[in-house]
Amino acid sequence: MTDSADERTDADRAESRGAATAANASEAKSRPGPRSKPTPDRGSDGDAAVGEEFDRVQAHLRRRLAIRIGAFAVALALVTGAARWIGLDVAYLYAHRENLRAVLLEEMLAPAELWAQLQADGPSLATATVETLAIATVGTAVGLPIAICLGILGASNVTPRLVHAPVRLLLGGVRAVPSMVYALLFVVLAGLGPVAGALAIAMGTVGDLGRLFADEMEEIDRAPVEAVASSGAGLLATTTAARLPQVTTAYVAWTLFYLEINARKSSVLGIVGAGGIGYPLFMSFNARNYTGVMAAVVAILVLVVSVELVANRLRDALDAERRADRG
Amino acid sequence: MFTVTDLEKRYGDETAITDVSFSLEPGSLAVLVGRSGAGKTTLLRCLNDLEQSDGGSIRFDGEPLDATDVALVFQAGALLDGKSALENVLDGGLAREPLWRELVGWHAPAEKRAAIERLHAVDLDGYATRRVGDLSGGERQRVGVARALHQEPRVLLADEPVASLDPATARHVLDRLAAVVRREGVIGLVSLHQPRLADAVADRFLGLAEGRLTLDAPADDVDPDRIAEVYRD
Repeated sequence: MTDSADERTDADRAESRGAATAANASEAKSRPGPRSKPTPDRGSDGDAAVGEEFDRVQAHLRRRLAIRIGAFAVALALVTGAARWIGLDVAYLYAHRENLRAVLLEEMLAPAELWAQLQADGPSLATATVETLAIATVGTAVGLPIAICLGILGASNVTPRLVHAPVRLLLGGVRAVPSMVYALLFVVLAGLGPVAGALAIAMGTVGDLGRLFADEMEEIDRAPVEAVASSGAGLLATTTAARLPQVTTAYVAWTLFYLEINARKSSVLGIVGAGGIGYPLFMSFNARNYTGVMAAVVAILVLVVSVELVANRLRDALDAERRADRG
Repeated sequence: MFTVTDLEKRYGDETAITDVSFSLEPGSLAVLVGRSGAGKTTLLRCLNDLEQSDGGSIRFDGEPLDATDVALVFQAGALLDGKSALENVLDGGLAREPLWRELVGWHAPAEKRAAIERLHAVDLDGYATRRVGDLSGGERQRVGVARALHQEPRVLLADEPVASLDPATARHVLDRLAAVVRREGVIGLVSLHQPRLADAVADRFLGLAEGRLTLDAPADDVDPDRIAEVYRD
């Protein structure tokens, strides 16, 4: 590249424009209808260079395609092998479809029976639903501050490897244990009931939200952080002033989403005695009372949809506040 | 001939551009100047149908333009960093390729060859498989130009394509842009904050001030004083 435009005269500029226009006017594309490809003005050397690069690109793409096909074949073989090992037999499922149809249409979705069940179990289901909501809310609220702290500490652009690596390991370990298992453990600590459920939800929140928060923190723009840090501010001040403002919207969105997920999780913890609507659902299932199971499912549906509506309203309110601040 | 007549765009009570009329010829490069907020970006976005204008008409040889007739080179490139230069350029031809080719990433050989030619046309020989995120500012802008050209537009717009580049790199990008505009016979319209960068390549200058066209003249008839008037309060 050269930089001589500053020294060009008006005559030079006119000559340059005129020459270029005249030389290329004859090669200007016409558009008779379907577009024709441009005729490159490169000469044989240019064509050869394009040809060489095209061959290189094709070789590169063939290699990449072979790797992708190979990876897909391995993944397919693994999934197929795993399916066979667990005994997944589509023919068997199809042959027994009538069982499911009978349970669904004649018991779970029979309108008159379902309505009668809802009326009979209404008060107890309502109490259990509110208890489920309380488990989800308390569990999320307890787990959230811990998730925020661990999320920040687990971000590689905030703390050194000596810190963020073990924190990530810890979050992975916490996440690996299913909520049901935590519920069983906390029943030993807190006894049967919703407290055990809330603590189990809190653990799940720490593991899941902590990981998500760390990932979001690692995606922030480095420039504002460097600008604040260069003023002499320490890690805590820099994090508060330059890092957290960049992730607040994402953290709030994830938290509201997890509240919905926790409402769903809480609804089954009662199976292990950790409170909520899981217990009546489990008891109905044990008694083969599928209409009772469906009544509990309806209550869970109402709970989850309500939580989602409230979460959406909160998100809209926050968005409106942000737009108002922008003025 | 590309003809814009009485173009207008409002945002609520505010008029961004009004009474904008001009004509440009194929194979020519026009430079659009004006202060920040004068309406340059709005004008370009209306021409590219990213914004719906509130009045006026845009025609090519008397006919309305379709979606693929106008290509826009964005200020910051608007490229996908994780994709290669070739893949970004191929995105310019998505409208004429079947969807399945994009879904499986299997483009026709003719398209790939044409895309490589575009890269060579902007002096990016050997860059086809390089990841865009690893390129310099000037290189990224040239990939953006190549992508716009791969769309095979009738009109090539560029919204401050050299704003973040040093003067030497900026001139190189503009030189390449002008060369391909003339060679391929498209109409080029480039908005710039530094009109002097375009001294060597512009065929025409257009100037916007407070949403109105206050300058529309061949480059040979425009001196620095006339451009300074566009920026005056």
